[in-house]
Amino acid sequence: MLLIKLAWRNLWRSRRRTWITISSVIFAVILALFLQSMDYGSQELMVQNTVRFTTGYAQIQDTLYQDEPNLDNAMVADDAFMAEIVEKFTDIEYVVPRLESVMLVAGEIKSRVGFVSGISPKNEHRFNGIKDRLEAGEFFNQEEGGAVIGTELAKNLDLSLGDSLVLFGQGFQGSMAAGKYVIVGLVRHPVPDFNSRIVFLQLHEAQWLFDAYDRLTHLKLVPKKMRHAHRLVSAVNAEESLSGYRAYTWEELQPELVQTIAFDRAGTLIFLLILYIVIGFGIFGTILTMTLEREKEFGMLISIGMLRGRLATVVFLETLIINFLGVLLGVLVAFPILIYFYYNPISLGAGLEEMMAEYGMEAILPFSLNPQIFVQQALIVFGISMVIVLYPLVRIARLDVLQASRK
Amino acid sequence: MPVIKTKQLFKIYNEDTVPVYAVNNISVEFQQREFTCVVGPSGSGKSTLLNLIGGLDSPTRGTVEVAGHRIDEMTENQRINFRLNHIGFVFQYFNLIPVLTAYENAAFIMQLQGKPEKEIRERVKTLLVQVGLEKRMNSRPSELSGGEQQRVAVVRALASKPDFILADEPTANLDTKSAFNLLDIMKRLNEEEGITFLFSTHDQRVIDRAGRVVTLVDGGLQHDTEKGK
Ligand SMILES: Nc1ncnc2c1ncn2[C@@H]1O[C@H](COP(=O)(O)OP(=O)(O)OP(=O)(O)O)[C@@H](O)[C@H]1O
Ligand SMILES: [Mg+2]
Repeated sequence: MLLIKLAWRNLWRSRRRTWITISSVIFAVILALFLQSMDYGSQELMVQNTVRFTTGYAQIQDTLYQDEPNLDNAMVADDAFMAEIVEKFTDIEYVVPRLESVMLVAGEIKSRVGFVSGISPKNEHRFNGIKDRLEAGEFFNQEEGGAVIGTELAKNLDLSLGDSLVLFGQGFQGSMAAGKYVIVGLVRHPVPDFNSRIVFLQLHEAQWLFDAYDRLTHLKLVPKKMRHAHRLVSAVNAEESLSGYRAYTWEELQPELVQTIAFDRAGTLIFLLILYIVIGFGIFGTILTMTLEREKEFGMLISIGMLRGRLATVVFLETLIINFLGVLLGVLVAFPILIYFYYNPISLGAGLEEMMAEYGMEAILPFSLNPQIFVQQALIVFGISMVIVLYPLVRIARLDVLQASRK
Repeated sequence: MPVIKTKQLFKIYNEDTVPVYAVNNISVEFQQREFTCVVGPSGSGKSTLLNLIGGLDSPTRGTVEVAGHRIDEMTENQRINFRLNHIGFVFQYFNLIPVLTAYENAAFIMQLQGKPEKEIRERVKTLLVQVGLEKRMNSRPSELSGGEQQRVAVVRALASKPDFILADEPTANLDTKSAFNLLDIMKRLNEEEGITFLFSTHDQRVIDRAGRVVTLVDGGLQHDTEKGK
């Protein structure tokens, strides 16, 4: 208590100096929070956009499918199985089944290698809003018949709404798979590669086509909260009755995306590091002056019986309080602004809007309120205090009492 | 048992080249309740002797015993703790912590010792009243006169009831009136509290008030006279 009081009083010995130092910390914290919030925000949006139209946040596969992704490794998963999964794991909101394989897609004259995806239209739309990307026709309004294909694929095959296409390839366990379907809808898939290859069928029709009844290549698990994806995956993998299955997070399924994000974050961190070094020197200057101008006092204190360790604690507390106040005030100022931008993201303008909509993205600069950002700030500033305080500590440890008091 | 006892004490600077005998073979004892003044010309070794006795400096040779403890054999941290618990210090200047009030400064040692707050309050307030500072308790050192500052320092040194109080030229920065006033207070507390005082000075009028006068010349002990003997 005595030491805290001393540290606190010492700080306000020169109000102006202390406030200037604290302000520099506040400035750094606000800048860092903004940068990181935007960084994380755009990454989270990127993940959301990518994951929605690809792997999902988490999915279950047959244990063999990840290494050999072909129909023979499709897993058994009927409606009862799916219902059971949703019931068993409370983190799951709903599931999105898929049965997928590469096939030859033939039109009247042209043919291409395409990607056939058997889906549950309702769940699929709930997950990624695919229906809204329909350019023509309908998205499986009838129980039976029909295929919805990517607009680019239709263009490449010279096909349009109402035309027929033929799918040809291999089904489950080497069986022959072939079928003729009427194009009932044209959809603009946001992932260009898919848009030029995708053929959607209803799940039960795909199962019939591939001779793979009650089978799925994978089942996407949609967690109630995105951040619970990891917990969910661990829980599924720990479940004994599901030993023939394996669950993955999007990070495991999309390592390139993880890498892109890590790279992005490293860039920001390097910039912030430079900022922190500059601010660090400012704080160091203040602490240094505060130490040097008090050497006589330090000498007196050690003389009358104050252990050097206690004196060092006072100086350490002074540094800590400066930085803590800086972080606290910085967060207090930045937080409401970040909250505002979180709910009202900056728009990138109408021009970009259309272009980005093509790729299924909103033209916004999103902000993140990921707690990690704030924890990181606190840790970094604490780390800086530790480094800065080293010099005064050494100085106190080496202080010659007689010389200091003679000055 | 004497409160302070030095035996063949030496402090020699530059022993290898041109030796300076700052303290030259001093064996001396100070008893409980003594009020002793160390005098001598500038450079005669007064500060050095007091620093050795206070454990602020280590002797080149010889021993220093305080209340039976050999402080010349202690480690640095042991000596700091020993000073905290056994010795009161009053310096010539820069005694007080600028950011603390007179009361907080006076209470500082007892707080470092971890004494209960209530005990500290009673003791420190009583002493501050005794030295005539009851109205200045909440003033910062910068708002106090030199004499008032020294009185706060005396209260701080005395409050924890140390074995003795060391004061190197406590009056050197004071005008005559304040100097006498401080000395009267020290003398009175010496009698009331029974605590040994050992101080140095240049001032002849201050010397007159001491019970015992130790005179140093060139680091050696020249006279040791006691009044009324
Ligand atoms: N660190 C040192 N290095 C070399 N010589 C020193 C050192 N400290 C003190 N001395 C010498 O030791 C001698 C005694 O010094 P000291 O300060 O004890 O004298 P003093 O009696 O207190 O003098 P003053 O009345 O001026 O305070 C002096 O000759 C001084 O020059
Ligand atoms: Mg001296």
